[in-house]
Amino acid sequence: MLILARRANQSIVINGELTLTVLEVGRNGQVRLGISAPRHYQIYRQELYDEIMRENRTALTSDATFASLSADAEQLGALLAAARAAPPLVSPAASATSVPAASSPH
Amino acid sequence: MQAVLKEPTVANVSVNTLAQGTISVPETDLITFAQPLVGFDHLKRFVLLPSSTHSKGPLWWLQSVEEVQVTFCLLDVFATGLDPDFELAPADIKDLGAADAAELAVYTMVVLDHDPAKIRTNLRAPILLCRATGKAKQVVFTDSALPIQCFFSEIAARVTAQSAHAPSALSRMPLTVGGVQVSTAKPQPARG
Repeated sequence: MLILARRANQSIVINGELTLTVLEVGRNGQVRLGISAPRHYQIYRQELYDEIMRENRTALTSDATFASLSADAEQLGALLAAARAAPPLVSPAASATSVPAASSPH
Repeated sequence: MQAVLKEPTVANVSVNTLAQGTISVPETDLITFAQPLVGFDHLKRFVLLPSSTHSKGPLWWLQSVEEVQVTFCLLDVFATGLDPDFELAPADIKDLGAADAAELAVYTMVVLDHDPAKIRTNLRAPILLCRATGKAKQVVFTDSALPIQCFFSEIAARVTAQSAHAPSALSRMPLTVGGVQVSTAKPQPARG
């Protein structure tokens, strides 16, 4: 790991296209960083990245559990598909026509 | 001599899958991750298989071509009535070789569990797939309104909140998985 000492308002440049600037060094130990990078760089807090990785790994279906989980998935998939196919309880159009007009002679 | 037009030949690839055993897949159906799944940097090529023999979606298996034991369950999230706000960067679309966002299919990763209350999907890091090029990537959004763990019981509530006029069919459907009810799905009033 390359270690550089920087003060507030000092920067480092990576590969000529990334600029990392120390904006503020707080007394509480927190450091505010400014990052300038082309848009295709995905920049995340490490915690978010770790959380996504953990969730991805949890989502991994191993061959040991696949058979039983795939049965559950099949049921769940069928329910989701059926729910999608079923008409909504009250459609906006239906509710509009089912309300009798106040001036109705009935 | 008359010219004979030959059908363009597509090579088939043999893929070992957990769902269907060894299958033959046209090379053009293979999915290549332009940017790997977070935590699975070594795996590039996958195939998408329906989770059920009866229906196409909304659940799919994302099967690794390189490692048979790596299979993920994916949800065709916009087929559920959930309408999450995914703001795609132009670079995301360009990376996959798509002309615009309409050419992309969007899936979310599902965590299956024997405890139905734990079944969930990740709305923060969906998988984008360009069908035309076969390229895919997992994007990670920083929008904290998108839950990393969206439980299936919540899906019903979210769908209901989104469609104020038309309570979703999903919201009145008791989801049962493995004989256990997932959701009582009380329609929740929209916040605010």
